[in-house]
Amino acid sequence: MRLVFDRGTILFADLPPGFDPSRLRGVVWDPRVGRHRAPARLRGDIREWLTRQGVPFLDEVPSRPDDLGAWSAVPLRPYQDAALLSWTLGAARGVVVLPTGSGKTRLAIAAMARANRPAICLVPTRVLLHQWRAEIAKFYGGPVGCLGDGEHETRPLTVSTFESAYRRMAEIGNRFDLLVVDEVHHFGGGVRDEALEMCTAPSRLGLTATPPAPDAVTRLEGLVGPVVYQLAVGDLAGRWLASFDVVVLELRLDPEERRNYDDWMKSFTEMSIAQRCLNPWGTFADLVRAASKTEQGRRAVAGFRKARRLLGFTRAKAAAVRLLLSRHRDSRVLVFTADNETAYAIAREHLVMPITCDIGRKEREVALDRFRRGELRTLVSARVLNEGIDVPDADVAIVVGAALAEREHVQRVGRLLRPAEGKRAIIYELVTTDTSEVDKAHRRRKALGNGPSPLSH
Amino acid sequence: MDPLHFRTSGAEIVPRYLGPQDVPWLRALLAEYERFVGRRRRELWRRLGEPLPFECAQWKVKLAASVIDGLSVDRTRAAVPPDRARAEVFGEAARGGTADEILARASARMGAAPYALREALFADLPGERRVVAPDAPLSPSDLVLRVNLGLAQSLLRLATLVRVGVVGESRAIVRHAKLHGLLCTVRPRTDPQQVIIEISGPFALFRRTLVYGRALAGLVSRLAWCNRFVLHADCALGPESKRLVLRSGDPIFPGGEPRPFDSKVEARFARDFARVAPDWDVSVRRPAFLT
Repeated sequence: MRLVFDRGTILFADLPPGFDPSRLRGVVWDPRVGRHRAPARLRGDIREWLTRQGVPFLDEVPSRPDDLGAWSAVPLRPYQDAALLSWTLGAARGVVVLPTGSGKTRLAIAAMARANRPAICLVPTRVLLHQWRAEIAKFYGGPVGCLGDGEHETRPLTVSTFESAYRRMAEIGNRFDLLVVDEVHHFGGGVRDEALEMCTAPSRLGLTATPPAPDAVTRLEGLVGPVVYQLAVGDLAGRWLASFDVVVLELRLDPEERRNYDDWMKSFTEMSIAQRCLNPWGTFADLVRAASKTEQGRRAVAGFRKARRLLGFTRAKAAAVRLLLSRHRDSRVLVFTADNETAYAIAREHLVMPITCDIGRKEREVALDRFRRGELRTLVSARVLNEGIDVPDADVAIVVGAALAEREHVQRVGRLLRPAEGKRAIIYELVTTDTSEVDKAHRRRKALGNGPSPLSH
Repeated sequence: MDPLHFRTSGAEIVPRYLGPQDVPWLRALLAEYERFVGRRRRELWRRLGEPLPFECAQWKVKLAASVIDGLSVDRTRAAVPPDRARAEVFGEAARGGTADEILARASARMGAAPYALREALFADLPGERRVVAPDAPLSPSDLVLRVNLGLAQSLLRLATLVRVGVVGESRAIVRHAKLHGLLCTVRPRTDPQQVIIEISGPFALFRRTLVYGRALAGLVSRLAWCNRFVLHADCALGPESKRLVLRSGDPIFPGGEPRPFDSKVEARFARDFARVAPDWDVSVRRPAFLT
């Protein structure tokens, strides 16, 4: 019998008479080709089961491995070493949860160096693609393949964007023994999970700064493995990460803004309450889907969006940003907004560099480099700076608005926590009182783990 | 997928195709576009968000606008390249001073007026770029068919399995499916000219997957090259699965002629071969389709 890789799946060929592989969970008869078929990720289970059953087989799934280049020693901090040990003890499958800035990339590189087998790293953005490749090159002597941002080269060590992996894994899923997934919390919800299912790699390491959402835990366990090691920001702040203070500035809407906000939210709140009665366990997406079926519902959702846009940059927030930027004119400041529109409004008024998806990659890299060297003092961004980008030595963050929830906040705070002699970072959160922002802000602070209590002004 | 783009009738998805009744407002929309040629795109967006001089659902306007946008290219208009302006001005800002002082210092270095420099700072952002007319003039009836093509393709992106009943030339469909790593099973009908082609991806066996959505959506433009067809697609609409039906004669913009070669390697080979052996004819061998 032969096991053959076929576009992200495993085909059973030349079965011995009377043998039925569909007794193994996940293996299905495919009438389209007249053979049994299984998702590629089950290769290890299939091999183990066939061996236990005493069925001789030829495993033609892996492509011929290329030689790997030489690795140099990868130094680790004690907690990184402990995380790697936990992962190894967990049969080289699992998710490591460590705060932003604590060196998750280094940990993954150490895992790749120790395995010294073909590996693929999946990252969410093109910026991270180049960052990972540069980081790997510091310890690995051979060429590093790249899938994404216009590059299509596969090597025994390859870095790929999620999107490219989703499109290409059916072709290349049998070339790797180790699958590393950065920001693994993006998976487990069904969207693009095929990228992990079409890969045969038995060893899998997921990295994230925040634990996976409860509804994704079971699915992620199947795709990558369980959480094998976890530390929060508070566990590392002070020694391995910089200490920080959270300053909450509670701001008010002016009378005109308040009137508009209440008007826009009224019908949405009513609809939301009615919908909760009909579907108590429904998600926000369910609510919007239900609302889109009626003209009244669509108006309510449009009102909600207007209210959210208003909260993104109120007049009080604009004044607070003005004051804070002037107070910290000698510091390196990151300003986080809920949307690009607000980022550009701040950039225009204060002549500070925006880092958004509309600014080209090269220009963004040059700007980040100038920020590192101190030639730029302030960057303003909605989403691009949230995840992964290595922004050293920022010491003040102004969170003007947040489109997402706790996860985004943990990532943003992580931008400031690179330790330095005597450094104490300050995070200003601008929160509008008597609005939906208050609850969100509370949840965000809770997500920082054992961090310091907020100082409220 | 915007739920306004279709309605459901039982288990079937019915696309809300545009038709001859939409031609007057599409003509007015094209006129609005023409009026904004040379102006900032955000001005056009703002205009399209306001009441227009015609009665039409907002989702239709958005859809038509996205088709027109896809056929034209924006242009950046600025006295100095915006990325250079940003590098200079924001670099100067780090040295301190009021906005006027910063712009004055930067403009002295760049040889551009402070006002022009401020204008250039974000001139390349999507909303700041200038509207340009489409390359080829677009008629309202042409626009109807193009919008409908977009509608059909966006629905087919949600497809997990497609069945096409084809009369006559079916090679373009099978070729497209094979080239995109899909599985084709062919069932002959009593009419020897007619076949049923079932198209899905290998992984579709395990769960409802949209990983083949792009490849399946690409089928729409190939259908015009069959003599007659009926396409049934199982589409994932949230937790439900509904069926989309496309037929010959549906008001959909026909795709371009299939390319003679499937890859750049083949095309390059044909070109180079023709150069060294001009007396030879190079063509791709097309085996008879198995029915």
